[in-house]
Amino acid sequence: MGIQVTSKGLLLDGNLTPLISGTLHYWRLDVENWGPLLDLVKGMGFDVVETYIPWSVHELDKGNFDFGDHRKNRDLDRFLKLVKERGLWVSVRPGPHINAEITYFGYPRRVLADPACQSRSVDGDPVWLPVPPKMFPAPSYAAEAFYKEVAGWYDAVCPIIRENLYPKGPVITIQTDNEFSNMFRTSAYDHDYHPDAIKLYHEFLEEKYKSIDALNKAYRSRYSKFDEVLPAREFAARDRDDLPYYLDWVEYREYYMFNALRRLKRMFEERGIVGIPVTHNYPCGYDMPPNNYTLIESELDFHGPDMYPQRRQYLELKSLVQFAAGLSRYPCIPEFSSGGFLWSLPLGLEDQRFTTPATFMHGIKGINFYMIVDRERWYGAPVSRDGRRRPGYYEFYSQFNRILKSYRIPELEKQTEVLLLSNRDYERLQIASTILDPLPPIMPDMLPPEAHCSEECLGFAQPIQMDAWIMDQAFFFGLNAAKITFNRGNTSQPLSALKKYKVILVSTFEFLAREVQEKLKAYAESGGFLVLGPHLPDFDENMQACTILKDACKEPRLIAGKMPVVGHHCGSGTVVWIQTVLPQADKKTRPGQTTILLRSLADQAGVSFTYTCEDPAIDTVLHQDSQTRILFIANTMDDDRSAEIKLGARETLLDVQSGEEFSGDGTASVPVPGFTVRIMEVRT
Amino acid sequence: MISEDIQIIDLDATHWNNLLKLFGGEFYEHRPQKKGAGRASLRIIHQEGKALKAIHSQKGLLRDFDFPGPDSLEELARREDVKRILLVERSAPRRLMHQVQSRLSLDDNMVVQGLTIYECVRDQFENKGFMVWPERPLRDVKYSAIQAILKMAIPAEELVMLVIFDTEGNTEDLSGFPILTSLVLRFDSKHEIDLFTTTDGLVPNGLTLGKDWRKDYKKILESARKTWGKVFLGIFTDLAGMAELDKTPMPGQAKALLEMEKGEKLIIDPFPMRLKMMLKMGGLAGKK
Repeated sequence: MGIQVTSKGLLLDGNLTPLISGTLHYWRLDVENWGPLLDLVKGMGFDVVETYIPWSVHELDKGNFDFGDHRKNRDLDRFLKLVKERGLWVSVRPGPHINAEITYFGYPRRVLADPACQSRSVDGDPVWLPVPPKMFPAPSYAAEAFYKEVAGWYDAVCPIIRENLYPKGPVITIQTDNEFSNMFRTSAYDHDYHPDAIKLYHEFLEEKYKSIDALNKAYRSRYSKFDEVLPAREFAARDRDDLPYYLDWVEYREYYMFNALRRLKRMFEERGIVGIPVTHNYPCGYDMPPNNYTLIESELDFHGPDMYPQRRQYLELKSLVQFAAGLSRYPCIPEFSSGGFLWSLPLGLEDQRFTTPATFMHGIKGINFYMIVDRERWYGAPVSRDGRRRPGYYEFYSQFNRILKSYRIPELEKQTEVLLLSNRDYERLQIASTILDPLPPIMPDMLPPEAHCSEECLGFAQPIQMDAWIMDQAFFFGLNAAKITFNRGNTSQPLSALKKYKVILVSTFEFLAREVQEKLKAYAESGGFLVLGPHLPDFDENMQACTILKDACKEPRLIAGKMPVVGHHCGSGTVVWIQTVLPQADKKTRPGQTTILLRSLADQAGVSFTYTCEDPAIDTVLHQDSQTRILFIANTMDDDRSAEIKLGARETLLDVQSGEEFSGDGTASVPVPGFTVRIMEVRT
Repeated sequence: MISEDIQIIDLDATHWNNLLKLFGGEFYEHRPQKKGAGRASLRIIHQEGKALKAIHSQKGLLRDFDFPGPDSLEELARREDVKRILLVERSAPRRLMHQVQSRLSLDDNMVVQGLTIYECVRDQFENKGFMVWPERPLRDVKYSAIQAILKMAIPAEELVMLVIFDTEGNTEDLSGFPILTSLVLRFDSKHEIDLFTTTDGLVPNGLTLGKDWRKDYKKILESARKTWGKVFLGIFTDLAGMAELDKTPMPGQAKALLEMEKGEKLIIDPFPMRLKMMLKMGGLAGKK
C-alpha cells in the first residue's frame, strides 16, 4: 500500500498526516466558488477535505452519466484538480448510499423502484425508510440485481477517482457505502429476506459450520443440507438449547454487512482503486450487532462512528469515542457535527465548542467536520455556500486546528490502563430476543434491552439478555464515578488488543463462547487483572458444557467487604469474580458501593489516579508522548466549577488556548466554565 | 405537500435555533414553567392476555407484572396510579409494518405517505392491536381535504413569509440583520412546498437593513420578490408582538391579530383579502 495506516494518522511518504478534515459538496456549490471556498477551508488550517460523490446526481438515466458536460458543478475531475492545486488532500465517498439529506440518499429512483433490488421484510414487503422529504424502499445489499446496478455506477466514477489517486493525485482515502447498519433498521426480524439474502445466510452457515453435522449438533436438529434451514422470523426460543439458531441469525446479520462492504471494496479494487485506505462509517458508534468493528476492520482499513451530539450528551459522546478508541486501528469520526440537518436535535456553536475537544479528550485521532461549507438542507457550517465566514464558527475551527497542530495532539497517547469489554454473545442475545419486532427501526442504544427484550430466563438463572445490559451500565457509570480513565471494547477483539490493558472488565453469565473463554483466560494468565461476573460460565455458545474460565480460577480469596467479590490467581494474573449483578446505574443513579468496589479493584491492580479530580462533574484525561503531556479537563455540567486537579511534584498546568498558568502544592485549582473542555499542557 | 425536490437553504444556526425556540414557546416569559413529572404512564406488551413487558415511566421495568387483561385498563390505571396506559399486542407491530409497507408508494409525496401510515395506525387501534387508556379515537384525515384547504388559502407558485425582528440587538448571525428569526415557504404549481428558507438568502442580493423594522420590512418584501418570486402573505413583527399574540387565549387570536395589525404591532403585507375575511370571521366567532 502506498499509504500506511497508523493509530495516529496516515503515513504519506513517511509523513504523518492526521485525518483532520472538513466536508464540502462540490455539486451543491457554484463552480466559480470552488476555488475560493477551498481557500477558506485551507485558511482554517485543514489539510484534507472530504466529499461524497452522488450516484443519483451524476446519472442522467441508466448508463448515461454527467461529469460536467451538462452541468459544470458535476465536474468531479475539475474539483479534484482544484483540491490538488491548493496542496490539499481529499477523502471521497462514492456510495452507493450517501444520505447527505439528498432525496433517495443518492440512489437513483429507478434502482429503488426495481423490486429485484429491494430489501424485503419478513412478509416479503419492500422496507421503507421514513426520511424526509420522501420515504423510499431500502435496497438489498445481498441482491445481485443491486450490485449489477452499482457496478454500472462504479464503472463510470472509478476512472475519474483512479486518475486522481495518491501519489499522483489528491485522493487519499475512499469510503465504501455510508452508515450501513441495515439502513438504521437493526431489529433482527425486520429485513432482509430477499431471496439472495437467504442464499447468503445459507452460505454463512456453511462457512461457519463446514458440515451439516456440526450445525445439527449445535442446533439439536436433523437437517440434511444447509439450505433447509429457514431464516428466523421472530424469537420463539423456550430454552437455552434453542438459542444457537437465533444467535447465528444475528451473527449472520453482522456477516451480511461485512459481506456487503467487502464486496464493494473488491469492486473498487477491480476498477483500479488500490493503494489507499478503504474506510466506512457507522450511524451509531455502539459496537452492537449488526455493527462489528473487529470483523469490519478485518477487511477495511479503518472505520468509525458518525456523531451529532448536543453538549448535554457528553456521556453518550464519551462512550462512543471510547469504543472507537478501544476497537479501531485508527480511531476516527468520519462525520462530526459542524452544523446539523433540520430533523436532528438543534446544534449550535456552544455545542461544538464543547463536544469537539471532548472527542480528542477520549481518544479520537482523526475527525471530519460535516459540513465545513454550508449547502442546501444544512445549517451552521463555518462558511456559507457563497463564501461568507460565520461569526464565531470560522474562528473556532481555525483556533482548534492551530492547537491540534501546535501540540501534536493526535500523536499523543491517551493514558488508559483499563478496558471495559462489551460481550458479543449477550449483545447477540439482546438483539435476538426482541419481542417488539420488527420494531425498533432505530439504533439499539436508543432503546435499551429492558424496553424490548423477552424477560424469559430461557433455562438460565436470570434473563441474561436484560441483566447483561444492567451489568455493562453498572461498570460504565461505576468507572466514571470512580474517576478511572478507560476505553471500551468487545469480546470479539483479539488477545493482542486486550493485552495492552492492565485491567479488563466484562460481564459474564452462564454461557460464553469457548473462544472468548480461552482468550480471557489467556489474558489473565499472562498477568492481566480480569474483573468479571456475575457468573463463571458453564456452557459455550452452542450450550455445550464449557468451564474453561471456571477451571482456570485457583485459590479463591474474599476481596470486598460488603459485596460477594472473590479473587483468584490465574497464571501470573488475577481473575476477580463479582458474584452478583451490580445495582442498576444510569446518568442519575450511580450506586456508591459500585464506585467503591471499582476504585478498590483499580487500586489493587495498580491503576494510576494522578491528574484526576474528585468533583463528579469534572472529567480528566491525560495524553502524552516523550515530549509533551496534555491534560484535558472537562466540566460536564452547565454551571461553572473549580477543578481541583491532583498534580505530580513541581508540576504546573498551562492553558494552551489562553496562556493562563496554574500551580499548587500537589493540587491545582482550575476554573472551568460550564460545558467547557480546557486543554492544558502539563509542565515540570 | 412537500416537494421531493424541496430546497432547504440559507439557514443560519442561530436563526434556525431561534425559530425552534419561537415555535416551542421558549421565548415567552408569560408561559407557565414546565410542570414536574406529574402522574406516570404505563406501557405494556401483551400476548393472549399475558403481559410480556411492562414499563412504568417513573419506576422503569416492572418485572413479573400482574396484568388483569386489556378489558380492565381503567382498574389497572387506578391500581398503578398512572394517568395513561399504552397497550401493544405482541404481533401488532408486525401487522402494522406489513400494512404500511405494502401500501406506501414512491409516487406519493411525504404527506400522503405519512397519512398512509396514520391510516394503518388508526386501523390497528380500531382492531385493538394498540390500545390507549383513556381512549382517544383517532380522527379520519384525508389528504384531499388538506390539499383543498391549502389550494383555497394560498395560490400556487407564491411565497408566505414570517419575519420576527430583533429590537434588542442581541442576535448575532451570518446575515448581520436585526432579525431574530424568519421563515420563507414557497409553494410550487402542485401546491407542494419547494422552498424552505430564511432572510439570510437575501444577503447575496445586497439587502441592507436599518433599525426601524416598520420601514425595513418593505425592503425585505422587495428583495424576496426579486429573489424567490411573488409574495402572497408576509407577516412582520418583533418578539413583543409575538408574545402579545401568544398571550391571547383562543379563540380570541384572530381578533387580536387584527387589532395588532391596526396598531402596527404587527404588519401583514401583502394582506390577502381571503385571509382578512377569514380572520374577521374568526374574530366574530371569538366574541363572547
